[in-house]
Amino acid sequence: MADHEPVIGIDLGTTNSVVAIVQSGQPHVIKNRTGQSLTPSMVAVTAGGKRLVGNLAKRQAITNPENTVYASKRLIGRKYSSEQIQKAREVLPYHLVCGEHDDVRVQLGDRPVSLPEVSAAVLQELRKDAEALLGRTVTKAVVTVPAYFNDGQRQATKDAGRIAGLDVLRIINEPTAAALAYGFARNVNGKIAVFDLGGGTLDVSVLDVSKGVFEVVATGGDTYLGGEDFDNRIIEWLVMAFAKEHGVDLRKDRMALQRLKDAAERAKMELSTVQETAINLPFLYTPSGGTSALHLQASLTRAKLEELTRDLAERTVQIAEQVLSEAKVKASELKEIILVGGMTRMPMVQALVQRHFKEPSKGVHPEEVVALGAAIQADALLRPDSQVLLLDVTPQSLGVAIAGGYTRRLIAKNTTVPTSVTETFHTSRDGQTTVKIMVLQGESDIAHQNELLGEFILSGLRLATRGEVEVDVTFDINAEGIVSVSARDRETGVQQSIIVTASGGLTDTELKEILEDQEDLMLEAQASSEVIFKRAALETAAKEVEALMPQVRQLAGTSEFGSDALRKAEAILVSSRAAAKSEDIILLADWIEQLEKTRTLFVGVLERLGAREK
Amino acid sequence: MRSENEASKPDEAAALAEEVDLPLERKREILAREAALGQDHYAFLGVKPGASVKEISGAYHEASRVFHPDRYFGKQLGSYQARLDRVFRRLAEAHGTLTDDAKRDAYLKANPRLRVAAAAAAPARPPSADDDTARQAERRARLARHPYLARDAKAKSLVTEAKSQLKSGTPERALGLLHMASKLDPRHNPGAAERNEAHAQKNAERVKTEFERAREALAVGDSAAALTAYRSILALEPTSHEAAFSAAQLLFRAGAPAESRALAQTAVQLRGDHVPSLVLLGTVCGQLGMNKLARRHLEAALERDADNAEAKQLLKKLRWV
Repeated sequence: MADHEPVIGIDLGTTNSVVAIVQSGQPHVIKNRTGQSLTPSMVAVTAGGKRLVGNLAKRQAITNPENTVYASKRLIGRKYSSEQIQKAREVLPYHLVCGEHDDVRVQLGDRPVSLPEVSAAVLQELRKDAEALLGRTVTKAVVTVPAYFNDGQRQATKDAGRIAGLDVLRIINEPTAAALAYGFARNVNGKIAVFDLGGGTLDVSVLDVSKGVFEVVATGGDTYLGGEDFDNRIIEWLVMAFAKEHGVDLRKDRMALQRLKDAAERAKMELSTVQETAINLPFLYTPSGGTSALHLQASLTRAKLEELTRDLAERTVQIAEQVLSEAKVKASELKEIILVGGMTRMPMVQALVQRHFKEPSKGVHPEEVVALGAAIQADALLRPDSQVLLLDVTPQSLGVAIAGGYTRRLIAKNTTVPTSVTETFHTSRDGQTTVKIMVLQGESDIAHQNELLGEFILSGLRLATRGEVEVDVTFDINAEGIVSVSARDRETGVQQSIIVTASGGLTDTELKEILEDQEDLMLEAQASSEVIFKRAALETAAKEVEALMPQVRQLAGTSEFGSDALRKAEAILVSSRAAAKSEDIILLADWIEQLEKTRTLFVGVLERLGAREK
Repeated sequence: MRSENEASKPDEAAALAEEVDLPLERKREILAREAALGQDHYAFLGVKPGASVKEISGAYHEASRVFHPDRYFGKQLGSYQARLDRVFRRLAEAHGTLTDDAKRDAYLKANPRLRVAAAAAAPARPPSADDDTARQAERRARLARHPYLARDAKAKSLVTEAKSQLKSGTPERALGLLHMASKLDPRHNPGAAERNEAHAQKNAERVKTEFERAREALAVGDSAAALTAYRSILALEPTSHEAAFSAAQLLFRAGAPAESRALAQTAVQLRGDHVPSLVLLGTVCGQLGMNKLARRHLEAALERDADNAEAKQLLKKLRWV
């Protein structure tokens, strides 16, 4: 057993990365060659053209900001034209350039470097640390990513592994890894919740554990709520005070803003252990016109910080409650709640978690737990007698774009993988011989608000009127998380398929345009007979109301009531016609009810007013 | 069915002879489960109909230990790869269906034989003190056997459940439950009041999110998206002055005065005292050549705010036309 090739687990973090391994049944962190367990996720190129990674890169960052890359995890797998990248360009000291396929590259020295290459440099460093400890080569790893990472970001992370010479056996979610490490060490049986509040995001996962089987029940969270939002509250507070005192808006000064950001983060961290801290930023602002530079001096107490950020902290626990209720798990059923991520060090967050759920589990090292979990999963995959089995889920829903610009979801989020689903669709146009299958990932009913994972065309369908040709679409996710999609003409058996390998990475508007252009090629979802029946009923009701409109309009001139009711009726007609495309029976029933009410009202009014006129 | 089984015998021998990294015992186990794919969910998981969620999950986890593809990672599996996949997917499906109340009910409805068995099994179980849901299920099952009480009780319990959903702010779920309740007992139409409240809640929620969406869209300069949001708000709540006014403003800026006028008119009708609405309506009317109307609206604006420079200026211009 000691013979099988070593596999490492890697937590590739935004600020720091950690590598771990399971040896003789116990997971432990591998210290890097400078003796620390955390390796900064930083890569730099010196003036002499030398590449530095980790601690060495961090040490020279202040003197070489333009050629030191940090926080590249926030950029990986995104498109250059995306909003996040454009925003990041304004605040990052290093330069981002556009690659050939709208991908992001970093200008390092005289060469633009792709983001997977940047991450690969960090992975390679960790790999070398592991090899130094083990005294043999390491070529296999399990790497963790945030739960909210989409397919493109996961693929880019895998690419990074490949560049670093690592075969990435599996990509697993960070909160899942944390639960694995915790449950493994303490032999937990029951439900575990993981509350992972990092720099930019909140991830919440619920797992059901029994004798080594870790079943992910639900994952959720908010991709735009994290430590940075807390920092921003402090910055706002400082800026306001400064403006009051000196009449200067610091936010307009990039350099000052960067210093404020660092100071705010530091103050926040300090206030997790002390009650009060001082913020000193000398020579923060130099007014034009030769007057002397302005300094910022402030003192922030823990109470004040809590006052500034209470609503944010409340929101994190609300979101966690929501995930729990989606998973149909009551707080009282939870065996453990594990806190992960630097922000969970804040006493207010801990107190709120305790009040809403239960006392957070102690003895978790928030920086190391994720890498340990990755190592446990790596070991479980390769060791035949392992007791650990992870039943993972899809983090986001998968579906296809259908006529009208909507999404038809085939695999809902939180579905256990491997899984496959087949659904029958039909043509949306007369004489449509070609259909386009656009594979979407995301939770929105509006197609273009999701991420496009891939697309393909099935052609050679029989010439027929709309709705006659039926096409089976099958989605399949294997245990490795690889998505494949196929479409089959039911009559001829002609089939087309793709394996989703890379993200299309289009922006919202681009995707919308494509969808509109390709409208003719879309499929329609098979409506159930009940839906068809309701749609017909809705149309009838709408026509009845329409038929009454002219009569009512005639009377409207003479009555105050008329114009108001007419306007309402018009609005109802428009919305109900729009709703007619929906497949939601309850929604359809609602609108039918509304239309019927309007009709009754009109009939009543016409009878009464009409009679009086005569 | 039987003929299929017989036909599969020689296949089975061939499968057992296949050279893969699996012990013979395991091969047999996999083949046996695969042959059982046609069984119902309970039988496939190896639990009795009416088993508790705990029992079902336990059986699922136990079976996963054997049939999850990850257990054989990196092994030479040949045809067993696909077999394992099929078995595990079926296990996950059975578990997913039987542990979700709505899905289980639908499944039992489609399989009346199982429903009877499940209902019969439920009261036989000793009631455990902490298992509220089990006791409730038992009661429901008992009532379900009584033809007169069943519908009424079910409808009532649905309405109660819907009420609690309303309280926790999930009107969609409440609506679904109420819909089912009214279907059960269409004559008395239970939960009518709750339905109204749910609609109101749902609408209010949607209006809120649409306003949010509009705000976000405006922040990034996407006025088309903002306009769509305002329009949906008006559809939900035709009396929203803010939506009407904002949409009219956007349309006017986008160079669509005719469409803008209709909405501006609505805005003025909703709030006749809102000066910016009056000014906007006046401006739009002026652009469309309806000078008389334009003047009337601008004058109305000045009546309420005599110092409104924009209205004054426009009015002056109109007088010269």
